[in-house]
Amino acid sequence: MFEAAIEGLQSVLTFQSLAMMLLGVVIGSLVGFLPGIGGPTTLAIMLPFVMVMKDPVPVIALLVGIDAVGNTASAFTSILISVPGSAGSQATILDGYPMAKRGEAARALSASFMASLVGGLVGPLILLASLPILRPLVLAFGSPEFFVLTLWGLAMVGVLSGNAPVKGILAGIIGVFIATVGLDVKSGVERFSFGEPYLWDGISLIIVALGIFGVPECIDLASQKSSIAEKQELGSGFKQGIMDVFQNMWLTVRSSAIGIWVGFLPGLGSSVADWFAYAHAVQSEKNTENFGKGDVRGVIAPEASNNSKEAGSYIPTLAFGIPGGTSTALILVAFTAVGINPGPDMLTTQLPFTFAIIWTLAIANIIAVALCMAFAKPIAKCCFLPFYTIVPLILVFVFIGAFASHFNRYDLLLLMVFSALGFMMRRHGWPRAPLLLGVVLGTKMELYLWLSYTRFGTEWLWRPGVVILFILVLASVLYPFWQGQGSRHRETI
Amino acid sequence: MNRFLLRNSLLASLLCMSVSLALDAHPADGAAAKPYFEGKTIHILVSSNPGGGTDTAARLVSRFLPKFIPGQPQTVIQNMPGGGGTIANNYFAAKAKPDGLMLFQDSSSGLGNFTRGGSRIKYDPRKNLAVGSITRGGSLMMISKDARPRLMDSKAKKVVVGDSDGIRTWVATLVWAAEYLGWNVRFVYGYPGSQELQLALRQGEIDIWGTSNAKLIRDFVKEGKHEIMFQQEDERRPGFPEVPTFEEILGNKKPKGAAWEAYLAWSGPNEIDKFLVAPPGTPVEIMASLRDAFTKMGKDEEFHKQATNFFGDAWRTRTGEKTQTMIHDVTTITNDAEGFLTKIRTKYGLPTGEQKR
Amino acid sequence: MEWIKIERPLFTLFVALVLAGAILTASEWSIRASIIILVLGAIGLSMAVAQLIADLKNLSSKNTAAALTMEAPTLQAGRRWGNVEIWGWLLSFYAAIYLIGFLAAVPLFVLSYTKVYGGSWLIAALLALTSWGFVYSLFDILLHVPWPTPLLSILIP
Repeated sequence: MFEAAIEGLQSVLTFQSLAMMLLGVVIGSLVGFLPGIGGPTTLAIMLPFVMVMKDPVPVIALLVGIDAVGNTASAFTSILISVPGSAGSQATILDGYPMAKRGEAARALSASFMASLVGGLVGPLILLASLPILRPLVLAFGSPEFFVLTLWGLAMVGVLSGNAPVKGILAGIIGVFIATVGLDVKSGVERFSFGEPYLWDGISLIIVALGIFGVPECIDLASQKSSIAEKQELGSGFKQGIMDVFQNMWLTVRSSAIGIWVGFLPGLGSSVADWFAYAHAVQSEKNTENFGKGDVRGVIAPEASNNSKEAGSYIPTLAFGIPGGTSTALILVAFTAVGINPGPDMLTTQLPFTFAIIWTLAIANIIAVALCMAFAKPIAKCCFLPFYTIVPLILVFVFIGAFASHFNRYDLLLLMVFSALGFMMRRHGWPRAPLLLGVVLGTKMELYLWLSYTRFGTEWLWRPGVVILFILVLASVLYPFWQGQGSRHRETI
Repeated sequence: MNRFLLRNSLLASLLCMSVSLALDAHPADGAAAKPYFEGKTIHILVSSNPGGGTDTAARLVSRFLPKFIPGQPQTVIQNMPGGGGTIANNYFAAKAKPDGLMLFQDSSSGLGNFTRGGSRIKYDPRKNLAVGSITRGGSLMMISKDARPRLMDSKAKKVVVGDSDGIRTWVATLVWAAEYLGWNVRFVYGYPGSQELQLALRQGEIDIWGTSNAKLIRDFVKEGKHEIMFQQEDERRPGFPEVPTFEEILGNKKPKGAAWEAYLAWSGPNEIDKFLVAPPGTPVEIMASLRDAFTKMGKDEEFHKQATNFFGDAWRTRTGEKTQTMIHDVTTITNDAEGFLTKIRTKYGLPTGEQKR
Repeated sequence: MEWIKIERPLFTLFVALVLAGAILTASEWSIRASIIILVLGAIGLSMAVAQLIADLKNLSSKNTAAALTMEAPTLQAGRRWGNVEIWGWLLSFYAAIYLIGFLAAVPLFVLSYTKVYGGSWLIAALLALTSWGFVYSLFDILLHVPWPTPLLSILIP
């Protein structure tokens, strides 16, 4: 195995591969920046070029490079303009944007990049360490275990509701209802689609996120006619942000662990890792009154986890050739075209390729963070620009993001609907985060409960995995009470 | 100054529109010195997301087909996922011009949706002109070795068949096996996708699953916990000569009349798999060059290699003419057969396709 | 009484009505599809009603920090016109996209907004050009997007 590791490293450190990786990082960062235009679209664009390449390692360097770093740069938009750059950076908005408003944008940015770096390194490390147990690990999770994990997600709703639990739960329920729109595979019923084929596939998460989080803040800026930062100073925040990560290193590592853990569950991963980490931070840290108002830990936790989750999504890929998400699915297509055979071989005859992937994940993250750090200060200055330059650009940005998912004008209509909803929710103190969580987790919970029941009757309740997970979930919910902290003073997000 | 800029940007978009309109204009004469397709771009509309099977097939086609079209046009892929293919189908039916410059890569689900019908189906696939099709081979059914003994034992716990939406074409084989061979199975469906199904099969959450992905099947068989029961094909695939076909297994228990027609209607579209079509009214010469190119492409060595990379070894191409006939065959179903289909689906708890649409 | 105080229970009522509507629609489906809506909807509806009552009680109380732990801050009642303005812009942008298409609507919107609120011609033009260029290169050149036909294109031969 050691030889394979060295071989993998050598293949990645060639000039061609590094150049490809750099290209991939730049593309991935740009793409991560832009809401709606996510990994899948970019990878789709890259596919034709990639499929004609002969040597697999540069292909790995390019594609994995693109995939690995989307979540680092997306912090820019989340922090600066409250627009989620990618599904993985939604939770970052909750504390990142308030920090930008206070003039602490540079601190938030450097903290997020540093946390991303740690996450991006811890992820591949854990991946590496678990290579021997990869297969049993993946096999341990069946429908019942998935169901309990979604329950954990739902427990987060309480945490994220701040001091308005009733409204928070209601928001969560609305979120679940939004997710049910579309064809229900297990029954063949088209739910809430009112005969429109457009709605058969459901409502896309990015549109909900853009509408609920992106537009209302922009509306605020426009109606207040103010720039983002209410104070006109950047401060020495940049260095402070880096220090913050070191001072909270244990939280950062824990969040990375959560990220990789959540990332490896197929289908569950991408949009929840940051929420889980955020909620975990709220539950487990002391002095949480400032979460939601600009606590740097609220930036560190999600950013660490959304980088490590990328490594996590490769676990099922390496174990069984099963893609962990849409991006990995596309990457697998490219791999097949250049002769890499995703599947059990990846842990045996193709081990050097596996290591090349792991090395690329780590190195690409380092490059991405370096790039982002370099640009952090200049870009952060946009917080001081007058609103009439920022507002139209943000709105165009958001509309592009909404349009880019399916190139359908209905998406824009939906965007307006959700913007109105988000606006009203903000105005009347309804927590918005639980709604997003409901959208992401609602139908999965329903599906896994259904599958568990149909397949196992009631026996699934006694499976060892289920029992262990259930205890863990209960522990994480009750932990804050045990520590003597309530959620009384937290701001509604 | 702003009016200047505004007019400029309006002009720019107008310019773009008119250029594309000009490009779409009909060619003057067929026997011109320049081949029709030279300097032109063919847009291939795809009814799935990037990365899916239909998309992969489309990308292969877009890469190799132009080589054999006189004039070597450029090709561009436009993904339009949604509604199981309905959105792309509707769009193509409404917007595509019969000039050979917009083609459509669809899959069997587009046909399936059409047959099931509904007010939102605004297309008729029988009107399109088929350029050719790539079929990845029939599905092979895998079963876990532990579960196999229970298959013929009606007193044992039922063997679980897993699927995503319960209407895959291979599910038909198991339904007919249950009905006419007395197999002891039940159906659990709702799994989000093939990833989850693979996992479930490995974990023993489901016992039977069907797929046409030969590589995947070999991996499973290599691991030793599963074996192949039969294949859903007319004749045994070259890669799996030892596996009997479904009809061989049915033997003389194969039903006749409406019961068999219903089976064909359900499992038929899979035979066509991924097909490329041009809009109705496309001129004969253009169709001829496209179909000819498709046939040549199917024999190309490089295409062969890539297709085998992606689809395993049982894929084959079919000519446009054959594809056209098959499309017509699978979208026609008698009332008796339809009634039978509904009845048998209900019996096994599978969706009947008559929901509110 | 401040408008915002009236608006608040109205919004809660809206939520309750949406939930009720969902339950009604779902009752026609098979149980497999509807159970989650019915269960969560019932829970949600009762909570929404409770919240509505709390909001209505708060209407008559002078003190916004009334003894209701279900309330939360973030009110900015004074900026009504600002809000109306920006919504006007949003809707106009959306209408423009429908009428003249994405490619033309984007520079138009950016240009007009920036100019109206005090930017110089130079800045406005620059921003409009950049945003148009970005949309064009990304969507047209890179992604070959099948643009939906703008409504007014019928007028342009």
